[in-house]
Amino acid sequence: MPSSKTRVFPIRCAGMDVGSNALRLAIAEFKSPDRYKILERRRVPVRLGESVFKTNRIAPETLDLALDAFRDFRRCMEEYDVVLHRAVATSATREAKNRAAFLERVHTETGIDLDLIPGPEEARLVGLAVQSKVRLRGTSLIMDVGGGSSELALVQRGQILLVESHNLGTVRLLEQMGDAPAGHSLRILRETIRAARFPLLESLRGSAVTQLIGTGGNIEALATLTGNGPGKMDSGERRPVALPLERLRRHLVALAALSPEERAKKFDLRPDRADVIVPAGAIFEYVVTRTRVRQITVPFVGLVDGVLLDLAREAGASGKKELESSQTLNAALGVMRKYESDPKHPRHVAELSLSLFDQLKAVHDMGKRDRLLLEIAALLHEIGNYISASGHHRHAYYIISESPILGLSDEELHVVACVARYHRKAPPDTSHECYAELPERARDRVRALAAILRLADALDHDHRQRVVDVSAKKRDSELILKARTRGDVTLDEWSVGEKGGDLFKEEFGLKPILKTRV
Amino acid sequence: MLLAELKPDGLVRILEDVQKPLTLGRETLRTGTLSAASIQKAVNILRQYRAMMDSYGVTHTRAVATSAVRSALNRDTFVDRVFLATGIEVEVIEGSQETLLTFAAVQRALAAQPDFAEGDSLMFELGAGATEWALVRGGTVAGSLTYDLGTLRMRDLLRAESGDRRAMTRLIQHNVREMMNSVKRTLPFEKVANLIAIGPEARFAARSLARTLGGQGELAAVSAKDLRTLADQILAMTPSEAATSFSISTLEAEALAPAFLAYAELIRLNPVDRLLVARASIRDGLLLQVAKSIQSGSAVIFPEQTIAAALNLARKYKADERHGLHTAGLARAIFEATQAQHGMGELERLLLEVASIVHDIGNYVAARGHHRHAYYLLVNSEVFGLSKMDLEIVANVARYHRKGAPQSDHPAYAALPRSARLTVNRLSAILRVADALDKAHTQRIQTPKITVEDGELRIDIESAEDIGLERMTLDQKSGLFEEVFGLKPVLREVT
Repeated sequence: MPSSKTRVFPIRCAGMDVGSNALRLAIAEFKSPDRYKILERRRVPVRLGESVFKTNRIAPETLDLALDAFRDFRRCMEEYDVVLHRAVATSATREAKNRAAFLERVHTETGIDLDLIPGPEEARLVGLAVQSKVRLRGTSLIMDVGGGSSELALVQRGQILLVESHNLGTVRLLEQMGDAPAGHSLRILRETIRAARFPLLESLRGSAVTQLIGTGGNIEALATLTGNGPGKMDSGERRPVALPLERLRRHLVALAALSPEERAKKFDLRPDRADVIVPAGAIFEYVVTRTRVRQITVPFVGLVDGVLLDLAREAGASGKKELESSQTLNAALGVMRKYESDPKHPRHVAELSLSLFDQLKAVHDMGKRDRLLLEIAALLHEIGNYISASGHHRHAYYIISESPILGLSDEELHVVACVARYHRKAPPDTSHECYAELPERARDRVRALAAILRLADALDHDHRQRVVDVSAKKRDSELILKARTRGDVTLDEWSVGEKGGDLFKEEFGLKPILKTRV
Repeated sequence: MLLAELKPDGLVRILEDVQKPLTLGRETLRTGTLSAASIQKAVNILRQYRAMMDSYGVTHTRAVATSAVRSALNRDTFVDRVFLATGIEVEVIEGSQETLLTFAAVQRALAAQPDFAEGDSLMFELGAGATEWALVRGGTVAGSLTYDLGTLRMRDLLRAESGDRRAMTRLIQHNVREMMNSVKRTLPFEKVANLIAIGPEARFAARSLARTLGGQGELAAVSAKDLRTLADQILAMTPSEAATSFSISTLEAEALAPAFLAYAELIRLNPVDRLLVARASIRDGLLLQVAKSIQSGSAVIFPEQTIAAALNLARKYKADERHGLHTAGLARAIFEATQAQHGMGELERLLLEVASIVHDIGNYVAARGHHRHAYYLLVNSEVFGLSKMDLEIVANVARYHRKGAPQSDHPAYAALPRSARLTVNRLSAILRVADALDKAHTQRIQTPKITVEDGELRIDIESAEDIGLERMTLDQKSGLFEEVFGLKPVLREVT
């Protein structure tokens, strides 16, 4: 496929992972969006999570250590002539009350912008990395155990079906276990983990998973605790290995019986690995026992590799981008199914919305990404009814803004939530907090998309899908909608005239008029 | 006014049943306040009632005012004026409490008639601003719902200039269908055996159309066809013609046609072959409540139904029911052991139990921040038997079952009146301890003996199982309890 876009390759990219336990950098050269060779890997043991999980703030000493690491990363990127870079920060930074100051200082002192990513996005990136190394068959569960949180992703035929993020992280667990009596610690750990709920595992009932993949430094250390390290592949990267449950258990019991100092000595572990390895092992142990799989495949890739691959895709073909938007849509459908028992109406409204969007391109001048947000908002606009019919538009806002959707940034998620919120009742107004807190450009998107959604919703006011489809034409200051109908559409007609068109008229200066052909 | 005698065997005999017409509602609706003249009229009527009560030697009284007074800006003036003039303390109650009382009376009437006691019954009152629903199963209320659709809005639609009447009728039918979908989503029933309407419009329909069924006219039946015909007749008249012809107020007359159209649609949707109309009104419910509280000394009307409603909510949001119930039992035991410290009553104990049952429901939205989600879900839900303020307290207690303690810069907490804030502090302190005792969700700490001694809350258990996790969690989560009660929770194993 010789297109102008593929010509960007080869390209050098850098990925950074600002985790709870360490800061990581990886630099790679991409020959194509999927083929790459790692040039450099660095890991600096700055434990951001330690102070955050205790005091909700990044301590000044930690901040200084982090700044040193970023300066070093910066130099390294310059040495390798890196063209594209992206740094993602996970739970520790996300939860720190002084994160704004942290981001600001990193930016001003090193020029690196940290991207705060939610748990599901973390899972998606790890999923990308895993699939570059291991061929996933059947249904796989990818599990990444970090310092502040654990991410589970369920993958089927290359598609991520579900992701789930837990506040169960190794550094966090250590903080909680602080004063647990020695000798009991493994048991208490196991029970704490068992007490945490994993709705994803419960919904699977263990049977469906055919493959379990473990990522993160701890499981890598556990997989290579004894015996020789893993073999190398042609690319110089380590070859995936399998860790059977029995061996994991043996290691865990042996490690738990020792103090962190003894562990470090006996198994040749770094000091910042020697303490967290036990809680991490216990989390993995629990998840394995909840599935029928008896071993964990360790691919020796992590979040940084995902960030790299994602960057390369972005630089590369747009076909990949579309694949991802279908994944995003799948994630949104997952949310819809959870709250909506009869999705005929929202599905139809989504169809009508997209049809209006496509026909009115000249009127609204919005792009593909906006189209995707509109589709998701239309699919989810009624989910608030699950909580209560009264104020259901506000409940939809609440649910959506608390249900991170894979592939949507925080801002996009809030745009979707607002568009769903404004599908009925008062139009967007800066006296509404949810709307006022959005940046200007996002507010413009909300108004335009909500105007289209309201009109589409009015076309199916009766919830009976009687307006089958419409053709929309601009005529002077009117928008003539010719509808193909099935049955009596009195109510839909009334709704378009009465209120479905109010925001549309205000936003685009066109008054919608519905004409029915029988 | 209903005036009755309570017999030693618990039977209630009605001595007087009087009604005097006074339409406060229209005035409030139009001007937002009650005029001096109207207040005077009300006082005059209540003076006569007072005289009747005195001549019978009435010992227990309860007087309530509903929407007309509730929405009047000068409602306090009204209440105070009545009290000064007659000594009657009028309580202004919420719509949901109003319906609760009426439902109680209907439920009792229903239970007395074997033909209707079987199967699921749906009761509803189509009010001016909203419709209240309750599902009755096996003689108790299994769930309830308030839906924002009332005769006022429907009437405006029917009147609207913009559309023809056919479109408006469609719109009413559509709104009713949406309401029924919401009822089906919220209340756990398969098939409705009896659809029962209460309220003045229903009683009007029964008077005009019905045959009486058994009992002493407690229930009547009307058909969809008759309801539609009656609605058409009324729609052919102007509201004032209708008012004159049926000798009711214009306001009342305007509510009839929309109500009948809605009833007919509900008959069709369920489907049932007829609508049952219950004669009972809020006054019967009040009487029942007064009688019950005299007998049991309890202020809480339907604790079992409230608990059942809480369990329904826990199920809807897939919370661990066993953990919820077990936590509720432990919380109750702590509540009772510390009675001398907090001096709280039965209502607070019920709120604590409800909060314990539902405290984890926020997990359905997301595990992260699930205490905040629980708050949101609860204030936007309904628990049968609880007022808005009760529910607000429950939501706050659930919100504070983990993470930061109540503090005045949390808006939802700060907005509560002082007494409610104190209740939230105490109940969430207890809930944290109870929740910690079942941290593993295995119910392995059963029936502990709880005592207060030497500045400690002693929780004595006989346990063979290892309870290290619970012990550790208790250590971490008992801070609020120590602050609030000045007692240190201590878990002791006794042999």
